[in-house]
Amino acid sequence: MINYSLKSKIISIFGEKYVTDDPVELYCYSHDSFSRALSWVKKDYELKADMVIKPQNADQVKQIVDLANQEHFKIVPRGAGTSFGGQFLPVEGGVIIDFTRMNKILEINTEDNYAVVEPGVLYKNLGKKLRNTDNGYWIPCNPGSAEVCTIGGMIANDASGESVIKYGTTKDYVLNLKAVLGTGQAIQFGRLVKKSVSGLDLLNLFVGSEGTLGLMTEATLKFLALPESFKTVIGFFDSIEAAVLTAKEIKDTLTPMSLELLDRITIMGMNAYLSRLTPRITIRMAEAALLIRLDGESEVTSTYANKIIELLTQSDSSSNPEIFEGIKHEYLWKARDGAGPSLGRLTPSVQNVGTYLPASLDFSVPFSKINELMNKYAEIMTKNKLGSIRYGHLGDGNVHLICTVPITSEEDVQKLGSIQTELVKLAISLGGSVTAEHGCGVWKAPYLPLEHGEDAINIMGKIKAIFDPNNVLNPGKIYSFPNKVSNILGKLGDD
Amino acid sequence: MIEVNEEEIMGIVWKCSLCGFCPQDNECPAFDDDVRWESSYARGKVGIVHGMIKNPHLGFQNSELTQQRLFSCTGCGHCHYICPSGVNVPEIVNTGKKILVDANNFPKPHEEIVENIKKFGNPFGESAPRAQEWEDLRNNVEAETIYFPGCMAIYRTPEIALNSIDLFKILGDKIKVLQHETCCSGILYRTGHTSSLGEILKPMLDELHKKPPKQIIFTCPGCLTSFRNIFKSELGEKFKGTELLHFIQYLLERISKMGNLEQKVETLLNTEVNGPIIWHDPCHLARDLEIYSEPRTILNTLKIPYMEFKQNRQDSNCCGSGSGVRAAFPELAERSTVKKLEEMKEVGTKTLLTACPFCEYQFLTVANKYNYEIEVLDFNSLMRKLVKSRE
Repeated sequence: MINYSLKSKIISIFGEKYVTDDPVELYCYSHDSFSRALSWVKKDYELKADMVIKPQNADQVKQIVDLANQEHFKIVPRGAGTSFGGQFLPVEGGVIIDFTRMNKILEINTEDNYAVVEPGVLYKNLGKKLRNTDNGYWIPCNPGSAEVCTIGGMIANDASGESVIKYGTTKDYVLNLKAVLGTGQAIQFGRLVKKSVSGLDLLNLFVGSEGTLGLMTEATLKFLALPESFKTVIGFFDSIEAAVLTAKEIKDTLTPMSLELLDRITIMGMNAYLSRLTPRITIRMAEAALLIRLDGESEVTSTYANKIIELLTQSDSSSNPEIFEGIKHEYLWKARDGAGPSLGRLTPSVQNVGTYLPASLDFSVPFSKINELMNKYAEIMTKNKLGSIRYGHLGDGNVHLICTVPITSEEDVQKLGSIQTELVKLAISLGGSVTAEHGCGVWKAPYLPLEHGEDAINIMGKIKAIFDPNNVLNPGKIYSFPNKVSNILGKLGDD
Repeated sequence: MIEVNEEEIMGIVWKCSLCGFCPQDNECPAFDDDVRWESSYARGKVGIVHGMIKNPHLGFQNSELTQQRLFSCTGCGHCHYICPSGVNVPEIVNTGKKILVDANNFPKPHEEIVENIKKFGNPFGESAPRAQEWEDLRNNVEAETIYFPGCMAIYRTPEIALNSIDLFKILGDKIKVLQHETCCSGILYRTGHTSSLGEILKPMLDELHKKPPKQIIFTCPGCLTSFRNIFKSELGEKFKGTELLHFIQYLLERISKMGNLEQKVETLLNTEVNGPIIWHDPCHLARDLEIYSEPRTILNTLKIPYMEFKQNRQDSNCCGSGSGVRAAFPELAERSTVKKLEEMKEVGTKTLLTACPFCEYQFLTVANKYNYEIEVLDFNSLMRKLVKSRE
């Protein structure tokens, strides 16, 4: 709890304008989509921050961490609030730090190709600035939330998306970080070079730690030359299995920027999204589609596109591939970025997505196991008489499996839990990971021991204790199962 | 106590995955572009209404912040358009407004609007009878088409109604106006004051039921939205057998029947208007009614050159005045208008063309207040001007 005296201290650091404890504002900051749904069916379920603050600089960040250690309150960092794993939920109350006010691009260095930014800078805004510098640059992590996410959020979650197959994840672009650790110590990790083997890699330990080790105050990211052209070949298939087999052939021939899988329902959702744009474009309906995005010099992308068309034409299960470029290409990927949420546009005609809670899973498995995962997933869904949706970043083995589970009662929550557990065990048994990109947060935390084992989780806990001995930073995420919600979610991890 | 269909609202709320693609800055007239608090995003507003319905014990219905966030929404629907999930945020916000009105937590200027509609049949408190100079049209029993000018055109921008009536005559169509025309009451719905809708609208609806017209043609997109959507959702009124059209749709139909029009018309605008013109898509027209290609088709057919705002058609930014925001939060409303006026300045046009009396009035008053030298041209007035110049 933040008492009057503590509130006054916090206001003296940040100024009244940038501090709020209005219950309405706190409610808005204290939910993600899953927690909102849970609070609907679970009468005693309520997570609420005590306060939200908006710092302007690193010094203020350090002061609030020091104060948290002195006064024993919790801190929950937050960027644009776009994560799906419950990373920013205040499971033990405390102060949410909204970093969006620290939004300055401090330097664009074209001699050494790096940018220095504050954590609240939007990826979109940095991208725009880089595009317009010299001949154009970019940082090609491309998470689905690219239009709205912050650089700080991306680093905290090691965000990635459709271009991992060729360009990797956020960590591949982070050179240097300034942060305030849970102890209150201001520290710097990394150098201005990517290539370094000097000592343990604390920089990459920090990336993806979901704000549990320290709070980032400045980041240096490397950037690349912007490709001259982009083209996307779309292959249409009569089954997901056939699409996956062809994807393997493509991977063995060349490395596209993206290699994405869509199932029939996802295509419908994307078309619903596209239908409102002018000029109007549509994706042809098929049981499955592959989006193969190519980037590079115009001649190169044309040659590769033709090569892929040839390959698709040879396949009996594929028909009439298309090439999208220019505005069609831009809209196609806008729709792909919004593919998950756009399923909500199909309600109520398709399997009640939207009125039912979509539980989005983001497993990654070795490529050779994808069809097995897909088939067994379909069996589990059929067994439970549920609708299912499959799409994802096929190129790197990361698929999104969506169960459309009706959540109208606490029993439904338990049902969701048992289905998720079954699927998690399946992915792990295939050599995969529980979460490829969405992050652990609250909702995936219960499954981590299944993937890593208790010993590894204990080591992670010990590392956390070094960085944040009083556990003031983002409690209840990754390492520990939050007590406050365990009465509901504890059963998600059980048999 | 107001009744809320929990299941229906829950269905819409659950669609929101809090993905954060909500409109910001210019795209949302109600967005707090200074501190950018979460509650000012569309997803924040969805959260507030969720809290009010699910957890009434939290008392959000009595909060000042709740009032500010929900009633600063113009209902422009840009968030509904932009949202990947298609979450109908205005519908959720309207439900929230109803709850707030029930809790007597709403902006005081709205009280006057409600009283004026109840007492005078218009939101302005004008005591003069509606359209008294159109006695002949009121008694035109032969006409099967009704023209519904709406309060704004009757009391504030009469040239819209007069030019429209002229165009009907020129095109040879007989029209009448309703004996019992009253405010469409869209403003009541959009400010959460829905309890007296049925009572206010009864005499007008009775007249329409008694002798259903073939068509009702509107110059105000807000009025047409009320007839098409609000009367249906709130009163179950479907106007079976009656076609509800915006004047632009009617005009396009008439023009398309004229044949060889392109050969007949010449571009006459250079001497008629103040330099190049820019077309503004009103929210109700483009998003609610999906009428955005029709005005462009007419302009192109008549070879009238026009420019586009950077965001246009269904992606158009709101003028800022809707849903009682101009009355309750005038500065907020002006902020959106000024942004569009600035864009006009940037692209070098001084003439704004549109087809909504509310937008026109807002642009005109704000431009005058802040000394923007612009002309606001109503679509029908432009059409009338063209015809006049060819007469």
